[in-house]
Amino acid sequence: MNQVSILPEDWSAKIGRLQISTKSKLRGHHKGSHRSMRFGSSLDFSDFREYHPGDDVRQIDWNVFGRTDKYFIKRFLDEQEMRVHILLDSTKSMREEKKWRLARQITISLGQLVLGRDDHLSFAIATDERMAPFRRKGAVYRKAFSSYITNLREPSSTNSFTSQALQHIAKDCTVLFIISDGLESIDEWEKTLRKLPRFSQDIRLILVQSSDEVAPSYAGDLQLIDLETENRINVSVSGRVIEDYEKKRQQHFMELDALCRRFGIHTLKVETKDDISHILFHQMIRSNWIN
Amino acid sequence: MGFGQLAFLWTAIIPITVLLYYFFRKKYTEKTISSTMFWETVMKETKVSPYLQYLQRNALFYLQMLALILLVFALLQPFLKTQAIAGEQIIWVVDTSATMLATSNGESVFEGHKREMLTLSEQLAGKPLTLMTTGEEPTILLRDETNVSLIQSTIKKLEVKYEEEQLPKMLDFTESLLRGKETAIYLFTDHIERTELPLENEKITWFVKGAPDNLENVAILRFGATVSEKGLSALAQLSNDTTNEKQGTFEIRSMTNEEIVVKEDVIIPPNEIVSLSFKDLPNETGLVARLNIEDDYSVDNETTVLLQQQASQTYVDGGLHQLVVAAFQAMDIPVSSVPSEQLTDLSNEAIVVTNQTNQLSMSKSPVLLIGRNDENAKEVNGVITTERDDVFAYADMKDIFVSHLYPPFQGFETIARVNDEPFIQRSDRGDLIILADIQMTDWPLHPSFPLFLWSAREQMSSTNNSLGTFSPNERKPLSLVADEVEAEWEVYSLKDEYIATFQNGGQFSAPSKPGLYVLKSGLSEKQFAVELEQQEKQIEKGTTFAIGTASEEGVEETVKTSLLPWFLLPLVFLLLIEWEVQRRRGFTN
Repeated sequence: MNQVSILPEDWSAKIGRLQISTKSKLRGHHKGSHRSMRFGSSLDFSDFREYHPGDDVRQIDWNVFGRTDKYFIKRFLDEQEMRVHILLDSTKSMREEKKWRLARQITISLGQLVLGRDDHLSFAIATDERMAPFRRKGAVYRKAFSSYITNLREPSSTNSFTSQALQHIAKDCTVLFIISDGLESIDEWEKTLRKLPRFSQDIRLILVQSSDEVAPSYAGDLQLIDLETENRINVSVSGRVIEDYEKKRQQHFMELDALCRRFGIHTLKVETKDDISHILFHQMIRSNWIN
Repeated sequence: MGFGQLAFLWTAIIPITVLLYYFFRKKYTEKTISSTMFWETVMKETKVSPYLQYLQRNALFYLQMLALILLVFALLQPFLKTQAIAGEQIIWVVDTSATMLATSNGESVFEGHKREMLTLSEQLAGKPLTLMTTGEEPTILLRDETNVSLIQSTIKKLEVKYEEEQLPKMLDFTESLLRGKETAIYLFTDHIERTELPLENEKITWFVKGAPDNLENVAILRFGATVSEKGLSALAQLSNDTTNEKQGTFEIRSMTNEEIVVKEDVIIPPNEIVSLSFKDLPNETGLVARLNIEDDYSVDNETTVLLQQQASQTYVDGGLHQLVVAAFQAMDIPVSSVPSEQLTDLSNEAIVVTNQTNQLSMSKSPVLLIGRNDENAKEVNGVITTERDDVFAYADMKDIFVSHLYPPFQGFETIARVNDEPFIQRSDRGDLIILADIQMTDWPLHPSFPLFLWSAREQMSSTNNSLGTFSPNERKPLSLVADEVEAEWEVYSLKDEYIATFQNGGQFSAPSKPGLYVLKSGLSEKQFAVELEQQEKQIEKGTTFAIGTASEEGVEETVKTSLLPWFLLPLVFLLLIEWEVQRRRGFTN
């Protein structure tokens, strides 16, 4: 089961400094490493407040009382964990080798960022089989997670991603990552995306696209077979046909983008021709997803 | 259509191979992709795309197939079989005589021939055609012409010239055109006997296109009138060439005022000639006879006669110098030498050349007086000047020397002078007087002398303003000098239709259509008539036949016109288009 890592060497060290940035206020109940707006037990000072009966007397700042004869409570900011959920599209359309590899690379990288900060990570793949989702917290699980993802079985789900996605999302997560190729009809996507905001305030959709999809390099007469539906279609590739294809594809993703904007979902398109480090250090940082 | 090289049919393999290649080319290589979602919509649109777009997508294939099929056809050497006139050289001889105007079924023989020629001209198939017309002077209108449109326009312009066809002359003429090739000679005439054709040359095929053989003709065969003491007497001969009795009216009209002088019903038995004579008709300058009868040939149903004193005889006074007689003979004018004493006994219709001055009053006919026997000559010396007169039409008097002159007649018109002294005079009656003896001048040694005598005789013989009768297109030198201002003569028909113009009498040729004409120059007017020749008043049964080697094989032969250029040109064009399509799209369309 132990496969060679699909990520570059020393990858976890390289991304160790990064963390997921979010404006989402929703936090987990456990203590974590992220400052919270709540008052709590961190060392970071927040403010003073007059004592009211019922307050914990342990929090009274006696130095202030000594100078002013008044009871003030010294308050500190709380540190809380983030709950991050990653949902990976594992329908057959993701089966394309480079796409699947990149998707997993992204999954591992994001997972390591989360676990490295002692945050709560949950991971699920959209599949018909009932699989125990990965739910862990703490840096110790980084290795376990990466091998878990590396050893994931090839996508084999025959149902569409959009129809299954909702069942595999954990509630109340700070950040929700969805990794998919977006190759399903706009109608289906709309149905799913419409319901997503209730799960999280910060939803990020990563669209993995293979380079062949973006700019088909084939020529001649081809019988194209759909990985997912096994539809066969005969195409005599010509400049005009490629042009038409390109138009259709762009239109599809533009519509998907528009849909995401409507529901406040951030999108990021990644291509298999790009390196994982480029995606992480350039694309994601530029779009303020991590810092 | 046929093919010259059916053996090249095997080349059909080439386009079939290409076709098969295109069939097998449609082998799809399988390729799995994440989703065919976009492709489906793309292909769906392709399938419903209009026919034109479909053609556009497959342009290269169709162009290639078309080019290759054309190539195969071109290799088969297609040709069109067209019927063409047999013979390598084709000569059409068109009879333009008056008899061609005989009408049958509302169309003249000539028009019928023209129509037939137009039809035949389409079957020439590029063979050289020589087109000529008959007549006194056979004319070649086209020489080895291959341009069909030119041929047809020339045929359309053909007109009847009324003159006799002179077939023997024409046949000799065609002989000169032969070049030892297979020749087809088409005679578009009305009647010719087989025996008239020269059949020695085996390479010649004769096609005679005659007139229909049922033409009916009634003609005024002859019409004449003479002046007698009581008036005019006229004689007419009417002939009926048909086998039926013909009935109609015969009328004689005055030429000047169109008044009907005589009108008579006539019945002409079949194949007979009826003579009619009329006496005591009023005096007229000319008569027009007309036969109103139903026949197929109307040109000869009207004829004209001009009444004039035709002085045919020329009498020369025996006492005159021999050179005078010699000069007349040099001009081919028959003269009779008469002793001076007998001059008074001569008939009226004669021209008298003498030196007897008394003849001016005694003779009823015009007199040409050379010298005077009643006066003595005086010596003169100087240059001769002449008036503008018809008698000098051909005679240039400049270099003539005159040593002595007789005194002039008072009141006579002077037409030539020596130093203001009258040299030649004309009387009111038309007599000409030369006031010098032959011995007194060197004129007889000049060529102008006989020419002057001829002009003088011509002028005196037709005293009134008529030039006589001509046959159609007849060329005859006339002693006419045009008006000084106009400097040319114009020919008009009686209805004042302009016909032709000529500079001087030497160029005169009669109009082709029979009838009366007027010759005008300035104020002077002269009448003349054009009459059909006697042969043209009879219509013989038309003959149509063919003689010669080619006639046995048929009038026509098939000619193969190659269609190769029609295939090669689009082929090259297609290749160009293909090249362009390929340049724009690349091989995988």
